This record gives sequence, structure tokens and C-alpha cells, in this order.
Amino acid sequence: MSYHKFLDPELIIPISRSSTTAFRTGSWSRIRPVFEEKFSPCSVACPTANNIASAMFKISQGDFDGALAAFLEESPLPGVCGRVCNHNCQSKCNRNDHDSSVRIRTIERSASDHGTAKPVQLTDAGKKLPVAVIGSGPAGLAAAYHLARMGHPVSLLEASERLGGLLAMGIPGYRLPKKVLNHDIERILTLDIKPITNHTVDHEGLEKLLDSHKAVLLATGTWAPTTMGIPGEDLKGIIPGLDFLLDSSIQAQVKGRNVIVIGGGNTAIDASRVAMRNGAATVSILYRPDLDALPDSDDEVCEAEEEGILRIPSHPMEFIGEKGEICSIRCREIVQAEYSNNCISSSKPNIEFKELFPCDVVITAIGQTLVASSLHSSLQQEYGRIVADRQGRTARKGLYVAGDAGPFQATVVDAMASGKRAAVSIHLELTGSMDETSTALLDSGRTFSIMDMFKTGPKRNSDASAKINRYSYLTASETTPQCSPTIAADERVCGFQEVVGGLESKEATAEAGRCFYCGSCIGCDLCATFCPDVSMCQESGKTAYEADPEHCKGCGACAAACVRGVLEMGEEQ
Amino acid sequence: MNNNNTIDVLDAGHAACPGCGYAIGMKTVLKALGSKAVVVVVPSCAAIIAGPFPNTSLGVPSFHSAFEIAAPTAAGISAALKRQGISDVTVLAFAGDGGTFDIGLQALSGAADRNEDFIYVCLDNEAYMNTGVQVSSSTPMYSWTGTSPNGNTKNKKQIMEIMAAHRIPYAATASIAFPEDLMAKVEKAKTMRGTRFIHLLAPCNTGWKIAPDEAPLVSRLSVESNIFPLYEIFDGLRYEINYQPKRLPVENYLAVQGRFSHILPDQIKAVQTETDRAWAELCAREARTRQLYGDTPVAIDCESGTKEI
Repeated sequence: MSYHKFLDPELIIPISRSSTTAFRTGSWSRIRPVFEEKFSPCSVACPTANNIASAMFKISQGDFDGALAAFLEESPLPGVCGRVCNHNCQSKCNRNDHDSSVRIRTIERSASDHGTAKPVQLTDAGKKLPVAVIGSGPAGLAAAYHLARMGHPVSLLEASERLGGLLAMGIPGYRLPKKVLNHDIERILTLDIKPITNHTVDHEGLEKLLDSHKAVLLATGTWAPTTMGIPGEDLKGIIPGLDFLLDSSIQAQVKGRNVIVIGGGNTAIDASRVAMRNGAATVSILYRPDLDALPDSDDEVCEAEEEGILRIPSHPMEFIGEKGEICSIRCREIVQAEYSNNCISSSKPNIEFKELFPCDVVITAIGQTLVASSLHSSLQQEYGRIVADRQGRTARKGLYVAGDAGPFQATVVDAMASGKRAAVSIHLELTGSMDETSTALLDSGRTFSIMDMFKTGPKRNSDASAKINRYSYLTASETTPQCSPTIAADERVCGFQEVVGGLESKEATAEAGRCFYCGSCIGCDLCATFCPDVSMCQESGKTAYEADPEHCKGCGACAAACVRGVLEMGEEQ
Repeated sequence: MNNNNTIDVLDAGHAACPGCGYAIGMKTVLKALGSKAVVVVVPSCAAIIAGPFPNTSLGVPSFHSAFEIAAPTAAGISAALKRQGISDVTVLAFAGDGGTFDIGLQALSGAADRNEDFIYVCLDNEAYMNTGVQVSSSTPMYSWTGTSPNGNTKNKKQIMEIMAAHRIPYAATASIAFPEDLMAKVEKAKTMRGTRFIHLLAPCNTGWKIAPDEAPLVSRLSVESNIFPLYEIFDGLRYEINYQPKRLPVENYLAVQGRFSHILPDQIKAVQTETDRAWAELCAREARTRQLYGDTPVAIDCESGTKEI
């Protein structure tokens, strides 16, 4: 039997030969998905606006070099920030509502430990416009880095013999090893930056710099101790916190003695832990819950408490001496209202309050202020800082301020952020390209991204960060974060080795894989997979997904499935 | 427009409602099926999506058949292809839950009994949605439909157990919310011969009274709450669970759907009890059948497909 004898089927049954694409189902709705990459909540919380989602995705794919490059877009010190940053980002992580935040700081450290990348030049528009930066702490380094990336030849002046400022001298090696800092600084110096160390700038020096450079940025920091204003402060044995951290000969004096540290912030915690490492008999911290700054993160408080440091809330009223030497502190009790005012979870008192605290050495770490030098006294000051606006501009044209010397938050990452804002402000002013959009970006918004400044097209709005939708938590399994290896307390107090270790690359990849990559499209294709109308398309070579307006019925399945919050439904333009 | 996600398998412009779970399901199945295939559609929303004459959305040759005969039509096409010496074309039938659980059950049973060579995908939206939401034997207990205005009074028919009883080489449940799992199952079925059955839960936004963007979400919930576990049955005997769900309370699944808006706390409790029982039984079956048959396929002594006439 052969088949060609059969009838042509077309003669007995109708056969559809055209496509349904002829039907313009797009007319059913005016609502369409809108593709817009956004800041992730963590990036908004990060003062330097690190592109965390992008770095996380790269590490989850094992690309440590790419992740480091992503961090270097916004911040020159990933090795430093990966260790000492106060990680605001983690408290805003969308994963907090699910299981536990992604360990972003640890991942930044992993990118720096396992990756290599070079700084990228943004423009060479500043080639003929030299800028001087006074001070090489986090603010000065960040400013010099970003200025050099925008083409400016930078002179980086430093009073001491080493670059790094507070990072080099004020943060002990068990938190930030010197070689990590030096590695970050070496990377910065691959740019067109001329470091000049052992160079102190006074009032006249500043005038000269203003003549020889188009702009000068002051990032000198605050190095003078704040006094407590209570009786007995001139007794022997009372040491300002920063002096203690800077000078190893002073540190050696605490061996075998009873040490009390006054203050609640990072300097206080660092000073107490350094005293412990120098063989102090006992170390306690007296902190005033209503007045003292709180340490940047709970981790440090926990680590200090593990090392046997007591934290007691109280109010020193008088230093009592014997033959001119400190022997005890008289305190008044903390009122409940003061206590509840300013309290974090782990800052619970761990011994009962006493009125009299006997001691041999007192370290005061209640804050710092500007050094009284001719450089600073010629400038207008308020609350112990130089007066400046958000961009770091002072009353004098061409003179900018960044970091602790200016009216900015006193953390490493905030100093870096103020350095970046000032650098961009200097660049725009000198190249004459300051416009309304730039001013708005520099002055407003919770965070400031230099990459957004230099990219074409619409700028991201840091007040509208990516939201998470119901689908994200449903599809994500609950996982525990990777733990960083930590040296046992009794072992680590014997020396200055780094307390917290980094993750292995495999662990880092797993940790970064927990990220939702909020606000950044990673090409997961879920929107296209769940589009019933086959109208979600990604044009070749582009990252953006777009709905075919002729066929999209506006159901919103794509936006509902977009775990990253990049797609949202909106009216057709 | 260029779309690298679906290549010539389903065209835009079909007449499904916005957010249709059927369309998502068909698209995913067709993508895994590839272009070397013939598809049978029968009256159901699948036929609406396939398009009115003279237009079609399907990128592969397809045949519209009668409501109850998806399975024998596919068997016939498969046999005809074999007769012509064509062996690399897969025949797949799409039918709704009405066409599978109710009207087409006898015809499907006959084809499965003969172990005819085709893949049968039951797109289950748990009622006669195309005709305006009437109760079917696939409708779950307590669900509203036009003909069960106070809630359905019967439990959902266990189609997987019926199919397993035919000892067909492959039967699997799948969900549109797990596209990778669904595609893997279609691809696995493609490599086999004989009657292969895929029970695909595909929500109907209209009939389930959910928002147009909620079909993937609700499907996901159905799996995560154990209402619709994902598993495979090999040779009708050996069970294998594919996904360990989060075991969310069934209330999460019921509460998002308007068709359960009248449900009472006692009824939710009853659904939870029944779901827990079914899950425990499924786990026990998996353990028992693995112990009996191991991981190797069970040998069944029968020849697949239609014999030479």
C-alpha cells in the first residue's frame, strides 16, 4: 500500500497556516512591565554606594576579579572596608526578614583576598587641573583615588612617614593587618598620585598650595582628645585613647595594672583590647549610655567581652588621685531614662554598678576634635569641625574639606564617602560642568554613586531602592550564613594576630549565592519563562528585558516573578 | 521580535486570558519538546490558545481533535508516523482535566492499556474553565465553582494512581512554578517509548479567582504546602519524590484564592489533615518501592506501541 493515493488533507479538513501574531492582544491593556535597575537596599545603606548586588553575583559565579572591580568602582579600600566597616548594608539586607542577612562585609573581604583588579579611569578631563589633598586617611585616600580616576594630577600630603592616617595608626593590627592596608594603598598609587610624606602643612603652606593647585582638599582628621571637664583630669595615669593606640611605649605601661577605659565607641573598644593584649591585670569600660557613641557593630563588643573586658554603664563625676597619681573614679548611677535612651542589644551591663571604681590607669576615649594648629585656626569652625556643605565646600573658593575634619559622620566608610563627594564636586567645578542634575545628585539622596554620575541615561534614585516581592521569600530556601574562622579568646589576647579570618573561595561563593541581587538584573529569565504571552524579550547585546507592546496583555506575571524587583508594572508611555 | 527564551514553539497573540497558567504550561512543555513533534489539542483552553482557524500559535504541526479522544488521536498519529518509517518525531497530546479525569478517561485508559507510544500532558486547572467554571472530578474539596456554589463536596480524583495502575512506563506530576523540573520531565519522557503521562497543575486565574499575576505564585504555594507534590512513577510501581517542599500550612495556599474564600476553619483543618496523610503515604510509598525495586527500572514484559497491521 502506498500513501500518495490518499486525498490531500487540505481538501477534507481546514488547516491553519497563519500565525496568531496577527492578533494585537497588546491593545487589551495599557499596563506594561517597566524595566529599571535600582539601588539595592544595602547599596543605599552603604555611604559609598558600593554596587553590592553586582559584586555578589560575580562572586556567586566564582568571579572574584570581577567582584573586586565592582567594589573598586566606588571604593578604593575593599581590603580595609572588608574588615573594619560598620556594615550598615547588612542591617538593611532584604534577607533579614527571611533568615539572616548576607555577610556582605565578609564577601567584600573575600573579593579583596582572592581577586585582583586595577582601578578604572573614568575620564581624562581633569588632566591639566592639579589638586592637592592634605591628609592620607580614608577620606584623603578616597578623594585622591577618585580625583586621579577623573584625570587630575594629585599631590597627596601626609604629616607622618606613612600613608594611611588613622587606618595605619589608629586601628590595631588584630583588626586590620598592615599588609592589607598597604596592599590597598599600593593599588591606589598605581594612579597619577604623588605621595609626599613627612610634610606638615601650616597656614602659609595652605596658601602656597592654593596658588600652585586648582583646588585643595583638607582631610586632616581629628587627632586632639576631647576633655571630660570633671575634676582631676590632670592626674598622672590618665591617657587620651588615641595617644594610647599610637604609642607602643605608652601601651607597655599598662602591664599588670588595672585599666579603666572611658567611652563607648570604636576607640574605647580598641584601647581596651590593646590594653588586654599588653598584659593589663583587668580592663573595664565605663560608658555613658546617654552621651557616648556606640561601637560600630555588635561583633566588636562581643569579641571584647569574650576577651574578658567588662562593660559598665555609669557616669564618671571625679578622678580621685593619691600623690598626683590616679587611684579611683567616682561615678554616679545611671538613671533608667538615660539608659534606655541609647542602647544596643549586646551593650547590657555585665557587672553591678559601684560608686567608686579603683584603678591604676585611665584611658579616655570620649571623642576627638581638630588639632589646634595654624592651619585649622584660620578656618571657620563649628562644634569642633570645619564648616562646610554636603559637597565639602568651605566658604573659601577652591578649598574643600572631607572626613572627620568636616561636618561628616565619623566612621571610616563615611569619611571615604565624603572624600568621594568632595572629589566629584571639585572635578565638576574645575571642568565647569556642574549642572542641576549633578548638584541634585551630590546634595540629596542617602548615598552617592560616582558610576551613576558618569553613566549616560537616567540616574538611579537612591530614595527608591528595590523592593522585594512575595515570590522571593517563597522560592528561597532558608540557609545559615557562612561563619568566618575566629581565633579563640584566650589565644588571641596573647598577641596582635588578626582575630577574624577570611572565607575560603568556595565558602564565599556559597555565601554570595544567598543574595537576592535586589535591583540588579542577572538574566535569570524568570520573567520570560512566566510570560504566558511570549512577549518578554531581551534584545541581543542588551541587559534590559522589554515587553512587546503589540502582544503584552499586562498581566504582570513577569513583575510578580522578578525576585530582584527590577521589573514593575506601570502605565504605557 | 527576537526572543531567545522560546524558539518558534508558541506564538504571541493567542487568546488566553491575561496571566493564563495554561499558556505558561504549554509554552514550557513545547520548549522542552522541541520542533520534531506533533501536538494534539482537544476542546479545552489549550484549543483556545492553539488558535482559531486560519491562525495558530503552535510552532509545530498540530491536530484539533474531539473532547474525549486526545489519547487515541495521538496514538493514531504515532502509529501513522511509524507506518511511514518516521521514528524521530514525538507525539504529544494536550488535554484539560475535564478531557482527562472525566470525559476522556475511558479512551485514555484504552490507549494506556495498549501502551501506545505518545506523551499525554493533562493541563489541570481543576474545573471546566473554558465553559465557565463547572465542577469536574478534578476539582478539590470545598472549592467554589459555578456548579458547586457552596463548595465542592468530593475529594479530587487521584488520576496519578489510576495511570499508575496501567503500569505505563512513566507518569509524573509537574507545576508551572517549577519550569526546570517540568522541562526535565518532558525531556525524560521524550527518551522513553510507550504511554507517558504528565499531570501538570496550571492555575486558571479566572476560575480560581486570583489576580492575573498570581498563577506562578499560587502554583508554587500548591507545591510548597504539599497540596500538589512533585513526583514521578516509573512503570507504575516505583515512586520518586522530586522536590522536598517547605511544608507550609495549606492555609497559605487556600487564603490567596477567591474560590476558597468561604472556607471555614474546620474545613481548613480537614484539608490540612488530608494533605498530611497523603504526603505521609507518598513518602512511605517512595521508601517501600525503592526498597522493593531499587533504583533500576522495573522490567515489564510487554511491547510498546501499535503492532504492524
